Amino acid sequence: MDLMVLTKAKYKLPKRKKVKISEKLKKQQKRLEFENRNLALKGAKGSFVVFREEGLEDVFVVDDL
Amino acid sequence: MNRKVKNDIRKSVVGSKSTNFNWVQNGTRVMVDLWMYNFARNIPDFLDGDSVKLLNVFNNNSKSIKNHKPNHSAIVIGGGPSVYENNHLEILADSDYQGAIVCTDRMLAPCLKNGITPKKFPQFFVLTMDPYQITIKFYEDKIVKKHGKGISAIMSTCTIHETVEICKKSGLNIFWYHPLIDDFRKSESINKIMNMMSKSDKNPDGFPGMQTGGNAGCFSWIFSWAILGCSPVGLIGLNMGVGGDTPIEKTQHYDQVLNHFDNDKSKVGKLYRKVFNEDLGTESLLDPVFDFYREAFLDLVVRTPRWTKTVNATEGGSLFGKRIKNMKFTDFLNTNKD
Repeated sequence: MDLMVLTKAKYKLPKRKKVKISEKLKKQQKRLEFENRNLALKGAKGSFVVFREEGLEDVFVVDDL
Repeated sequence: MNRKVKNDIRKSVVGSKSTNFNWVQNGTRVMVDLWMYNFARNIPDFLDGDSVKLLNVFNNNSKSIKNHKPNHSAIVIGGGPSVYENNHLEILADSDYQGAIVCTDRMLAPCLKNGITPKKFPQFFVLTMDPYQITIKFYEDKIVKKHGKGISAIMSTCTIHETVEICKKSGLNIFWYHPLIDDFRKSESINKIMNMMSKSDKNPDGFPGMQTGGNAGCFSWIFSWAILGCSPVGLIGLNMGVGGDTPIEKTQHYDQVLNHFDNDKSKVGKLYRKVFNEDLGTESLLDPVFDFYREAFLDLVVRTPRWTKTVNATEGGSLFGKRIKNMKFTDFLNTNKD
C-alpha cells in the first residue's frame, strides 16, 4: 500500500480568520504598555508616600499647596 | 508549593515592620510619568470642578481638627477576601446604619448590587486614587449609572481620563484632590506645580493635597476622619494580606514580584512574611506590596488626632496594634447606629 507522507507542504492548513482588533482595544493595549513600562520601573514595590521628614510627620491634608 | 520557597517565608511578631520603607517610597516617585500623563488630560475637567474642600467639615465650620467632637461614624469598604467570607455586604445592606459609607472604587458595583445604595445610605462616597486603566472597569457597570446622582466620587487629579469621562456620563458628583507625592514645601515640588496649574476662578487656591497611604482602602480611611470628621471608622474588606495558609502563588502581587526577580521563585519567597494577629489569634500572609501598605497604615494610624478611633471589623487581616481596635462587624453596627 502506498502511503502518502504527510508533510507540511501537502497538508492544507485551515484558514484562520484574521482577528480584527478594534480601535478601542488598540487604545487599551497601548495604554497598558504605558502603564507596564511605569510599573517595571517601580519593580515589585507598592506605592505610597508617608512623610518621615521633620515637620511633615502629621500631614494628612494640605489646603495650601 | 516549593519547599524552599515555603521555608523562606519569614514569621513575624506583633508590631514588626518591613525594612524597605525608603525603597518603596523611591519606587513610588518613578511613577510620575504616568501621573502627569493623566493629570494633563484631566485639566479641562478639574478647572471647572468641585473641590474636596467643599466636604471638609473642618474648613466649612472653622473647627479645629484637634478639638473636634465627632457626631457620626463611617464604614470603609475594601475588596479583601473577608468582606465575602463573612457576608459583610449583606449584613450592612440589612442594617439600619445611618453613618457614612466610604467605598473603594473596586467595591462600588458589588456594594450597589448587594443593596448598599445611596438611596438607603444617603451619605455615600466612592474613592479613586490609582492612575491605572483598571479603574475604568470599576465605574463601567450599568448599576453605577442607575445610582450615579446619589454618589459622591472623590477623585485624584491623576486618575485616568476615561474613568473621569464615565463618571461624568453616569452623573456622579465629582470632588477633586491631589495625591501627595513629594515634599510640597520645596519650590521644585511636583505637587506644588500641579496645584499652580489647578487654580481657577472657581477654585482660586486649587485643590487640597491628600495623603493616600498608596491604596484606595487606606485613602478611604483618611478621607473618613480627616475630611468628613467621622469617628469611629469601621473597616471591612481591608485585610492587607491573605489567610496564613494561602499558597504564595495565589497572592495578588505574585506575578509582579516573580517578574521582578526574573522568575526566580526562591527570591520571591524571601519577600513574603506572616504576621500573627494577637487580638484575634489569626495569621496573615503578606506579599511585599501588602506588607508595605500595612506598614504605611500602621505608621499613619498612630499619628491621627486622639478623637479618631479606628476599628478593624474585617474579623481577621493584618491590621492590629496601637490605636486599632478589633471588633466583630455586627458589634460595630450595634454600637454605632449613625
